[in-house]
Amino acid sequence: MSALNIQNLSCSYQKTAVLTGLNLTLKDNEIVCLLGESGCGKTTLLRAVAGLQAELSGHISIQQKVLNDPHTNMPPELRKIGLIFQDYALFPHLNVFDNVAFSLASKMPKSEKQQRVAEVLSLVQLSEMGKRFPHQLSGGQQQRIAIARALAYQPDLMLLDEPFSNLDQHVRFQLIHEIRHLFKQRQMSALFVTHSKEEGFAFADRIALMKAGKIVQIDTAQQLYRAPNSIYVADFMGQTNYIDLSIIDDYSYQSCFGVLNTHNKIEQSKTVKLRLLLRPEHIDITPDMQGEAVVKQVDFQGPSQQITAQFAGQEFLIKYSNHTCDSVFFKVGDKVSLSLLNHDFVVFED
Amino acid sequence: MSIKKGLTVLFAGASVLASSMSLAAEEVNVYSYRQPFLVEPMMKEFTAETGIKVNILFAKKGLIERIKREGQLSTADLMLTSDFSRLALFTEDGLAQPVNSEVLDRNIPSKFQGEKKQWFALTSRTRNIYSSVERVGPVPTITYQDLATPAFKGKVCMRSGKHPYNVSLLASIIAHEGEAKAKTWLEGLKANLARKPQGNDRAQVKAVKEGLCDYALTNSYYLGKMLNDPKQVSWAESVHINFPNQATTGTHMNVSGIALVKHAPNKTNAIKLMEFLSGDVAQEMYAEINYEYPVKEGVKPSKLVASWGQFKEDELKLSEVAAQHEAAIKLLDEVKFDL
Amino acid sequence: MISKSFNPYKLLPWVVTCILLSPVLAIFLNAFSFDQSGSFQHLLNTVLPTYISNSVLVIVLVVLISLVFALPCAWFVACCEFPTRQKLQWILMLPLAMPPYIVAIVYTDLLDFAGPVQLTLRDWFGWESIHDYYFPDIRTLFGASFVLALSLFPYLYLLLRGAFLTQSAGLFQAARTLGLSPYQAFWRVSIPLSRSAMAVGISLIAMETLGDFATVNYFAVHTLTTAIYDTWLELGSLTTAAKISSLMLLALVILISLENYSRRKQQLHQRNSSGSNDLRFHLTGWKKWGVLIFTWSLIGLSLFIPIGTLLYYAFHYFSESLNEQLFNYTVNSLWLAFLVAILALLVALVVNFYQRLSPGVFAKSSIRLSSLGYAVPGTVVAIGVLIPLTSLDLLLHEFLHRWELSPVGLLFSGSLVVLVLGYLVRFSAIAVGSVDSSLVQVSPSLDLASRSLGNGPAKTLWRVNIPLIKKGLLTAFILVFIESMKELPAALLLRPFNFETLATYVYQYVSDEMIEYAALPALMIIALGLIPFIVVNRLLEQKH
Repeated sequence: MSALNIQNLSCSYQKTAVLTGLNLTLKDNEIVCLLGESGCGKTTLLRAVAGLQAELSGHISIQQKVLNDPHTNMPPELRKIGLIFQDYALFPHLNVFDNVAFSLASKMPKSEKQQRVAEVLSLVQLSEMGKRFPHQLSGGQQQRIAIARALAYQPDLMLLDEPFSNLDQHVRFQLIHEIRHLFKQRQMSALFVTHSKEEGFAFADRIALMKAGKIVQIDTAQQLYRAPNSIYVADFMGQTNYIDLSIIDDYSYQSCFGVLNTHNKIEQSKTVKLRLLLRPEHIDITPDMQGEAVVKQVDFQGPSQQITAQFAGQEFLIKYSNHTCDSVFFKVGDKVSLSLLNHDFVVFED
Repeated sequence: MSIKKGLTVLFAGASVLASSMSLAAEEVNVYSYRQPFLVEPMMKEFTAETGIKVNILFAKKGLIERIKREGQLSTADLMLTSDFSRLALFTEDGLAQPVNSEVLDRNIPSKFQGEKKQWFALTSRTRNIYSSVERVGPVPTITYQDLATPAFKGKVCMRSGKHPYNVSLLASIIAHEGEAKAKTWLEGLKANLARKPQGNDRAQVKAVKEGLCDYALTNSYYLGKMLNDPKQVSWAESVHINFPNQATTGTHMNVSGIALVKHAPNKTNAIKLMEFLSGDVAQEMYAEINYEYPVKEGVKPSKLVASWGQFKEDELKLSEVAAQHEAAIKLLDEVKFDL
Repeated sequence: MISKSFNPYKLLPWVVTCILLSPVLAIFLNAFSFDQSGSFQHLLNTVLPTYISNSVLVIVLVVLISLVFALPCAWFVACCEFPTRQKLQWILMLPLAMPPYIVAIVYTDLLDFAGPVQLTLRDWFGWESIHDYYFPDIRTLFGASFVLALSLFPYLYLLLRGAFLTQSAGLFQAARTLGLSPYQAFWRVSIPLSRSAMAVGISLIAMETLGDFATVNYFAVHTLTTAIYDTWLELGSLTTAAKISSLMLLALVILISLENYSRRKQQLHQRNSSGSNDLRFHLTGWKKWGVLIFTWSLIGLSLFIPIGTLLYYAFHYFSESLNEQLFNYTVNSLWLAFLVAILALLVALVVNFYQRLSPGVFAKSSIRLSSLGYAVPGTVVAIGVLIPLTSLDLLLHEFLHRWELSPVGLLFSGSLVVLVLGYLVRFSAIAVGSVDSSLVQVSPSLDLASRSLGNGPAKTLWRVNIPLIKKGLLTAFILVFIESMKELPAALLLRPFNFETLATYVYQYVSDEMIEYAALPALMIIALGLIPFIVVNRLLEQKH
């Protein structure tokens, strides 16, 4: 049993494949972020789950409930899925109360309705806004109302389509934490689409990185950052440097930084070209008049400096922390020496 | 002075643009409640004889009101109406002027003229009761009053009570019998109608042919018109024309007529046209083309109309009928005749 | 201190509004003058209650039937995909070109007791008289409403289709994910969102219905318009007629204001959603056939049957109908309609841009006021127009007399000026409404952008707004053009001597129920209305 189970989902739009044999499973009470560049199919996946996408094949189910399989295409209104739209899709002809109460059965007694609406409105901290119309609210408030409306529906799963992209930076992360807290409190499983990894880091338990209609890697944010399974994932998750490696023996490589030893047995064959991932923070930089590296560019970033240095015929991006009192401030043209800090090697076959 | 000159040029130019017809010398302007095809043949003949151009503005409603508004500036010379009540309304409102013309006096009998010679009737026609050939046969003794008796229940067809022809008939009944009796009659008639008043006079004849009703209240000349129309001849042949009230008051007559507008700009031409319309040529055309009864003595009705036989006319003065016009309209409202 | 310089732009809208309003005002003023005839009391005691209830019933029925026609059609065309959808999308507008009085004649002619349909039925089944079978009477309130709705529903269709097309598809989907079936979502989201469009459409239809005389009269249905004609033309009391007109207008204004008031808080300004096309419901099976049958039978009833009947008559009476007059009257109708349509567009631009440049109660009321004439029956408008213009003529006459200039006669009221003004009073509302609704969709920030880039109001209007509302302008032009082609009562009463339009020419025959001879000119009216419609639509479609 799982909060969402997608198997071999394919979908095409105007004859071009958007999703190609995609698999994804959400655990109960888990928040998963679908991360990817625009056009990778993440919104299509969300719409497919919501039942708003035509012409798809594959299997989608929530717990025991089958939403899509070769014999079924459950209409959206029976899926019990809350969908938060990028533009919130609040009904402009209804005030906040009626928007939130929209999914409640018309037969429901008025008092119960009021209670339910009041409850979710207090969850999103907008109890006083019932009489307002959507256009009278700020973007963040509209977003909360959209979430309140979905919550009032008591869905089995929440889908959020770029929910924070229309918000100011400072409102955004406050709201992200609030809503994450809310979802966790209500034990709500959610699938959330964004193109911003920072939002994903802050909101999700796991991140599914998508590329061209497939999930290339799904894991916690830390794992995706530290152990990407491909150059694409590595690049997507943060800044990267790569250096060429050649294998010396089972436990050591040859590189421009000299011989690198590893605890794990090297399994790649000697014939393939190998590249080592170096994050900017994996490289140590020290001023050295005799150093073979030269500083090309310095970007001061407050707590750190981002330095571009020329070394061994290659440019390296280096992150240097300014946290100690003897920190150096580099200038363009400074001679420096570079060395590798201790970390788990991530090696890609070229 | 130059401003004045400029203005003269400007307005003269504008008026040429605006109403070029009013500048031409030999012409006469007619506001007509009668349909163009009923009067155009006579007008053509008039132009051919005199060279005077006739301009006609035809409308079924509102012409009197327009003349009233135009006042002294009106370009209208003559008002042509298809019934008497409008003629009366027009003269009562002081929109007409008397015409003293020997020709008119000679051609049109005094009963067809206004007391002060402000209006002249050109043709007359009867309000007949047509009966189904198939189901009724001729009923020479029928009266308007019969139509309101129980024996006629569901057998009568007629057009809207508010149509001038019907208003005029009702007005004549009010004049003869008083309002109270007229009201009883109208209520009886309404109860006997096979269907709500609708359509025009021809449509009533059609309804008789199709068996919807047995009697239709219709003007005389329509029968002639229909007999001449290949499509409608079969309707006409399905009815007998009866002249009602022969033993009593006589058959109700209405007239079409003409009046000279008070501020007529082309007065001379207008009187020429009036005289022409009352003369032999036009009167014969009215008789032959429109199947109406000419007003000029000595001009015979068409053969067809003559074949319907002699009949007794209602001798009630037209002005007395016109006096009851408003009462008739109100009575129709009171019994909700059309509703 | 001069805070605001005098600006002629600001005066222009008021001049236009005053000119358009003067006939209605003239009628109003008449209504308040003392009435010694007692006609109003008489009417009140007798037929007025029935007339009022008939009017209300006809309006309600016409609106309801139009909704039944237009609502599904608009939704099918905007939100579904089925064969012939592309064609239907513009064919459904074409019934606007059908003059209701001609449709009325065709249907009464066909369905009357003595008409071909009942004749054939009697022939087949051997029925003898009316008592042998039941056939719904066409000359009833329902028949009249049905026929009126047949030619008026495209107003609603046009507006609703536009509303459905611009509605964000996301809202509909949001409703679906909140547990509503497509049907429920349609009623709870699509319909309320199109409420303003619906209100505009309904008020257009209601006004047109209220102003109609020819059609209802043909069906022997008596409404308030009958009362106006009776009191004024038979009882000679303009005051009473004016009173009734004023009451009618007042009721309408109140209704429209109430509707506006009830949604004062809503702001249905929506983002345009992209890709709503791929969200069309693909109809298959019985649904597809149902939609096809519904839409095409509506077209059949409103277009094919009347046109077919007219074609039949025109063919059989072709030689009698085709003559030089027909050509002349066609030319008259054409240029008159063209002139009126252009002028109405100018009126609409002036009034609407005044509202855009200096919004406020005054500007808004100038829009409302300039539209009042639409609800006034043609004949009443005609007299209303005559009152100020004849006064103007008399004044001019006095003036010329004093200056010893030669008189010019009825410069205004005796010329085409009066006719054109009469048409404008009646039809400006359509142009004003059409331009208004397309202008609302142009974001005000575009104006600001243009102004900040150094364009004055006039330049902004010319370079930014007009190009953006081109479609609305074209629609306004076509609608006014078509209405002017069809207009009858005002034309009858206001035209100068020897000036006939196709409509008045048709009426000559129709008034004597000689539909055969009226068929060819009637077809001309329809064709001349259809052609610009089709051409413009084609142009617009190609651009997309």
